[in-house]
Amino acid sequence: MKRNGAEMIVESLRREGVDIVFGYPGGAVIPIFDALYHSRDIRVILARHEQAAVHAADGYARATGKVGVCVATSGPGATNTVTGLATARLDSVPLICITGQVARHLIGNDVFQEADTVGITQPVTKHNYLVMSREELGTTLKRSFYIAGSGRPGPVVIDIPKDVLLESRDDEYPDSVELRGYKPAGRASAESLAELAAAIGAAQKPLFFIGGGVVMADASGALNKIIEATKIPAVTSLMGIGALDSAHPLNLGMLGMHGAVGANKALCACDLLVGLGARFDDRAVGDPAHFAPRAKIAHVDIDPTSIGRTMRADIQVVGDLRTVLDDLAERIGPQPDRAAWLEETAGFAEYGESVVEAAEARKPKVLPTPMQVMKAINAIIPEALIVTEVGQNQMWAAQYLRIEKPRRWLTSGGLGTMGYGFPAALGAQAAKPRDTVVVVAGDGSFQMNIQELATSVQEELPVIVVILNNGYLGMVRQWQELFFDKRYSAVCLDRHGGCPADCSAPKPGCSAHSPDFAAIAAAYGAAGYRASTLRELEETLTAALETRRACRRPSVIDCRIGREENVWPIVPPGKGNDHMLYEGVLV
Amino acid sequence: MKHVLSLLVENHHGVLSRIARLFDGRGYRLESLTTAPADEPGLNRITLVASGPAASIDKAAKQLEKLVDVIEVKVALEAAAVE
Repeated sequence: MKRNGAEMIVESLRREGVDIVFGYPGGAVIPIFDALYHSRDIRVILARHEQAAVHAADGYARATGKVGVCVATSGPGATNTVTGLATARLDSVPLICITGQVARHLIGNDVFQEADTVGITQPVTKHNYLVMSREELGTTLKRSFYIAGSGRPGPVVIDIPKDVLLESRDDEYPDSVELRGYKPAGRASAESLAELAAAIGAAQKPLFFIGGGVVMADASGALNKIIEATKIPAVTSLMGIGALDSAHPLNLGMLGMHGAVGANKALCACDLLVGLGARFDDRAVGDPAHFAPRAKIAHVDIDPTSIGRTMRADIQVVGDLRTVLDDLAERIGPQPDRAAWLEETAGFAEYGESVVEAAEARKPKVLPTPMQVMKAINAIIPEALIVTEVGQNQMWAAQYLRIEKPRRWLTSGGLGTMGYGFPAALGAQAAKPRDTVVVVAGDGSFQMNIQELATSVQEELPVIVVILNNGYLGMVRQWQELFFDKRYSAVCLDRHGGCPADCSAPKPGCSAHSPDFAAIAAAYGAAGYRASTLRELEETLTAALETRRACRRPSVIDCRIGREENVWPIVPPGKGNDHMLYEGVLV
Repeated sequence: MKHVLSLLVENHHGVLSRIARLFDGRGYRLESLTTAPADEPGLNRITLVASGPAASIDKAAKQLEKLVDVIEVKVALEAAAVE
């Protein structure tokens, strides 16, 4: 069939089962939006910034497991996607980003809205293409979808000159592609599986370390079966949350810098640590010399370059968790009696909870505490699909929210991108219209993509944003408090002309409550609420649910919390996970 | 320490810069790099000499294998043997 390049893109989207495209038009991609103009089966969601369009496609991908798609124009459109691409790459999110490029004969001339998009995006993508002929467009699109979604998923950029978009050619979208240099891992070798099964059978104190790979591979069901069969306790990474119900008695919680006290204690005591689709990143590991010091380490991952990268791996299993866990289940024999280990880990968890509860009991509770905010969200919206921003809000959400299932916890783990949460939530909401999507935000990060309120209202994406508002860039302020002698430099969001230059503490009445988030929400046509007590928070959450139900409008709840609330515990940088401080005291 | 690597790659746009960047990003220096058409049309043979820590050459080789356009990686010889 004769079609131009832009029409070939739309054909590709149809054939790959894409139902939503997030994007922002511009001169070089007008042909793509033109081709989408009549396509009733593909919804086009106009973001208000290209970065947000990428995050939205990312949220769509994480919520569904499908490849997310976004479109941006040449030059600034393409450069604005960089943060979103890097976010998706570090968290292994399948994404296609189509960028327009200036016409072929103009490339390299520094013409209007020209940037070297493949050069700029090469380090932040799994792969990228510059399509220099209409002939290769179909194959390139097919390859890109395959690369983005297979193996360890990741973002792929396809940069297409405008004249390629407009050139007509009689060709078909290919049914399959061959890539000689690209062979994603499939099943693990029988030897490595046998070695792992034997190590598990021999261990007295085994511990699973669940990473985001379990979620990405949709292997949560298989993991649950293994845990039920073996009764081996587990810790999770930030990305692994949701793979195992956080209220499961064998789930000791998140490990690492702000991990659960019990999880880190178990890590230090175990004799076998089995990493499943976790990449042992620095925030999880801390000082490698003190990480799981008594344990043999097994590492299962689809990406061989992840194994042994930051931590030694005594047992290496390269394979797709989709099959590895099923294959492993078949090989795991009867397990030794580990009653003592289960008692020990239950003791760790109990101790950790007692530390948290004692600290919580000491708080004045005039303003809602972060834990109360999370418990209120869980109680009032138990089925919520949670998306977080980055910083303290993210860590509190990870610590206190119950997440029962995979793909209901979306967070920028690797890159730690402030401004990720709100647009990603819009993508998740578009993909899952029936789910109640809740964004746990900070007053800093929400302002990094606040313009997407326009998108959420226009597209009727009724997410509920809960801002934990402390008037600070809270995580940085916490580090300044703990490690920089309370020099609160450039972190106060309520600062005004009369403030001293060397402020090191909030004073009564100094808070300007700026900006007025509820008024901003209202100005965009969303519902805005304020809460400064637990009761008000509960009432506004209920009201936001009603707004969502009745008129499909998004809500923003501006919830004040204590200005100097901290995230505890913290493993100070450079220390091992055995060195946890809780309110400044070793626990 | 110098390492000689021999790569078989698809002759696609950007393949050289991907390979060069991978070494730059890991503290290696590329001492020399030659590329020539391989027997099979569309493929190139790249021979390169890189200097850097021995411990991470295997990691770099793994990363090279991960590149979509790289078909084969051989850590050939230590350069001393060919100099």
